[in-house]
Amino acid sequence: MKKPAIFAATAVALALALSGCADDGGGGRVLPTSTAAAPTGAPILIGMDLDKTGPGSSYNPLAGAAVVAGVDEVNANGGILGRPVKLIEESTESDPAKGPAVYQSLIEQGAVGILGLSTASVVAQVKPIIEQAKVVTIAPVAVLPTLTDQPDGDYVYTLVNPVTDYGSVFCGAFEKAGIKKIAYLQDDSPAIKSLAGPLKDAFGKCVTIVDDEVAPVASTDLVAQATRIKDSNPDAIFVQSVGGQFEALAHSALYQAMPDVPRFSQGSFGSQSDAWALATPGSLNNLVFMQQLDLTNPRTVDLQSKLTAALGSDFNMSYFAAQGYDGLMILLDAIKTAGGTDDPAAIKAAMDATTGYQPHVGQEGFRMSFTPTKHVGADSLCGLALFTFGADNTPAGKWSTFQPAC
Amino acid sequence: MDHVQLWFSVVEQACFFGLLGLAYMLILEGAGFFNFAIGAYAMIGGLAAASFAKSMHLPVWLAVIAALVLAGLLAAFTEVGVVRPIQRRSGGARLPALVAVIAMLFAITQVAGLLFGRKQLAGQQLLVIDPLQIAGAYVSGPMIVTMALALVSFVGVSVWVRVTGTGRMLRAVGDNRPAAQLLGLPTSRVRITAFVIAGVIAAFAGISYAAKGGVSWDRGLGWALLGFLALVIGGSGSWWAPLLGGLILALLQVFVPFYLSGQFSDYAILAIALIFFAFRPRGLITRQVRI
Amino acid sequence: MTELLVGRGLTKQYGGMRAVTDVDLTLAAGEVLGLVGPNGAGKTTLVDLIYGTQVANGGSMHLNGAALTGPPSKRARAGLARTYQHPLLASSLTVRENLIVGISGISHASVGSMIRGFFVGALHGSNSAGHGEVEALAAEIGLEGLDRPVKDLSLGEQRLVEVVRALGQKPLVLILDEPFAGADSAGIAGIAEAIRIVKNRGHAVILIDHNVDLVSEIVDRIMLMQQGRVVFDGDPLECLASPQMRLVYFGEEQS
Ligand SMILES: Nc1ncnc2c1ncn2[C@@H]1O[C@H](COP(=O)(O)OP(=O)(O)O)[C@@H](O)[C@H]1O
Ligand SMILES: [Mg+2]
Repeated sequence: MKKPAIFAATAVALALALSGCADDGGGGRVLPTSTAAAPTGAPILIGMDLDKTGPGSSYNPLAGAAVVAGVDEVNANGGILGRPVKLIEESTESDPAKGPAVYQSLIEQGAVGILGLSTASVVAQVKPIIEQAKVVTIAPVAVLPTLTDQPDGDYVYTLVNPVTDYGSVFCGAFEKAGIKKIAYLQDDSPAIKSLAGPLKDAFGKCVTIVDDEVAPVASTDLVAQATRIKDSNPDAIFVQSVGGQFEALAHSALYQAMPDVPRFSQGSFGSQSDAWALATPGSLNNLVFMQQLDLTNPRTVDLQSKLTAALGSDFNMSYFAAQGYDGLMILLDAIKTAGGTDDPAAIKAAMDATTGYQPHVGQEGFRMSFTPTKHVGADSLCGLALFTFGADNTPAGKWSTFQPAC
Repeated sequence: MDHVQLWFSVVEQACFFGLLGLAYMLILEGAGFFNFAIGAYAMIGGLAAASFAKSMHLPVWLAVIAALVLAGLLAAFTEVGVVRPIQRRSGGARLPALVAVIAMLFAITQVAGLLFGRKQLAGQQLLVIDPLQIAGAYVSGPMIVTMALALVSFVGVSVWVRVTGTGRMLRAVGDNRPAAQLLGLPTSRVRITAFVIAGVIAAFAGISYAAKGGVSWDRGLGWALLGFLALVIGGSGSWWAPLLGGLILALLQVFVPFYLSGQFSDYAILAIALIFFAFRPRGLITRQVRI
Repeated sequence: MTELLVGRGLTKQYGGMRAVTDVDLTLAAGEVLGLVGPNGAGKTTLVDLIYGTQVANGGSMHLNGAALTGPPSKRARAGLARTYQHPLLASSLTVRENLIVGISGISHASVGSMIRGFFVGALHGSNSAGHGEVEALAAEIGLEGLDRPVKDLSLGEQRLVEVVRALGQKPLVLILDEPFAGADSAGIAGIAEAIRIVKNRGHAVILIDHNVDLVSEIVDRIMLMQQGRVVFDGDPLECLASPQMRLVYFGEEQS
């Protein structure tokens, strides 16, 4: 009668462990009004799937706030075709099972275009519904290369470089830096696991992976992994993780074991300013990381100040905000070109004719275009850029050795 | 190459897990059940110290003392405000108390998330030095603090329980609770004392370990389980037993990733936990264990 | 002589079983009372009621004129000390530790001072007074080997540890529950010495045993119990000769 107590307790513990919750507000304020005539007529309805409570709630509100600000901006400048733009907001909580009902509801409420801000798997689930309803749907933050594939891909669009481009970028970097052997260290989170497989395949074509380490995302010590990596004697180390404490520990341990071996990072660490301080002082020096947001791009800086003015000084510029904004603008441009909202085929045709859109992410020369057979916006690899950290554990600017070409 | 660095890592983790196990043991001795909120005290220690230093700009030592006091108060509250009323109502049964402290673990976790935020914070450096180089390995400030804390705590507790009146009373209560009560020993005051000391030790351990890789509001559960396992594996036959349990956990944490793969270390810990539950439920060093 | 302990109408039932029924009891200062009777007569239950180990179903008690209520810990502080038929000791602690904890533990140290004791006191070494006192008392009673763990002791020796512990609490009333069971001659001498010490202090003793012959040599008065009732209360020699005595122990028919 003694051990069951422990097991019961452990079971309770585990059950309760699953009940964590988080919330994050992303409210928007109205942009300063301009002098343009107020739009009149029937509003143009844009649907938005915005996850405020599920797994996507860590980044969805960032994108959603920028979309709201973008709509306010457009309306303040006379609307589209003289009509006001209105958002219809629903949430799938990043749950693919809830996708059909939510998208059906957006369409029935009259949405003529949809921004799918939550995960790509939701959009993948609702593709047949979109195809049938002929409503242009943009997944602005999605990086899944197969999302726009047929069947049912006629009305689905993504914007940025898909993950398959990451391999090309890093292979270019390795070649330029003379790196032939790399050690790979990743965490075991589902998100990273699904990204790591294709990336390792891509790396297999340009370098040799001499050591491949997978560590639990909640690790509190990575000295064992660092020692194994050191024993494998690589030219460089590639770290891929959800960031945070895991990546801070990784760089602390790797720096201690091999201060002179170059390190590369892919994931969110480069944008997690809170996490940098978790790493041993100096351990991030010269770490190269890849990011979509490039604050040396003047368009990005413009958008940053615009959104800061609209959303308040605690707004933090992010790739998600820029992509939400770009998704909205590309969609509204197409509606304007189509000359109205009555003919879905005309909106799709206008989307497919989009060329040279100047996005607010990536390097300055980055452009997005669509054709009837190319529904991924990125025209080149330069939607991605490489940066390095300085000795003070904060980013020091773009990496001078190599950048993806436009 | 030799792997001295790995061994330092083992020792550091052994000390941390052992300290959590020691905190469990104090309360096991004084109150007769496993206080899983130990993990939360450790988390609160690290998180509060970091937050006090960062957002209230307190000097490090003051932030640490404030965090230790907070954890001590939380531990006292766990006993006086949660466990005692529940045990009074359930006639001293242990299972309701166990469930209550697990609920406490999650309550502290959620409140910590609200109060201190859900972001990871960098731990407080108590000893700011350039890493020492010993036999080709680096020994960092946090590592030294954790080891020193373990040494002081284990020596301190094992001396305290032998030479002080309260310490001896704690052992007498742990050995024969009905006898202690009939004798008129102040068992409830001894219990609170055990809770507070355990809370402070756990919090200090959390503070020193947080300096290694930061701390966040959701660390409590993992630390609660590791400390619990340190005690289950080590046994409660000696006040040094949790350190032995911590050492075995640390060896697994470091050498399973090294010789097998990092993906296996959680499974290895699960496996050793099951082995001990099944074949040696009283741990390595035994006297008598009450669960 | 002044009445130290007074009990009136003490009653205890376990379920439907009457273990003690309507017992009156008085104990004078300096008096040694022998509580005798066969197994199951209710002797232990009666002292359980006095010490608070069991809650009475009826009756009242006064110690030195003040009502005697509450849990054992409170009554211990009021001036009662006892031993048990089955010794209650911390078996992994040494004899000395059991004595020190038992004697100084019933004090009123506050939580604050206990906690402070850990963070500063542990450095200062021992803080318990009375080490010497404990040793002297143990020597007087003939208890040796104070640094042995209690679990290594014989039952008789464990009884003696309880006796010394109870004695160290300087009780107004010392209750000894069958202390002679399993005791060797040295143990018997030690217990007799303990009783004399209490008597000399002017305090009282309740001594339980079922061996009337042995008890009658030590005690001032005897209470004979049978089936929860007191059937004789008076002089030891009278008790030995009484018809109740014969009835209780030899089952003679009452005429
Ligand atoms: N805790 C108890 N629960 C139920 N019955 C008890 C309990 N303690 C004693 N008794 C019963 O009460 C009666 C008196 O027991 P006790 O006082 O131990 O007698 P004595 O000490 O004279 O041998 C016995 O019949 C015994 O079985
Ligand atoms: Mg008896």
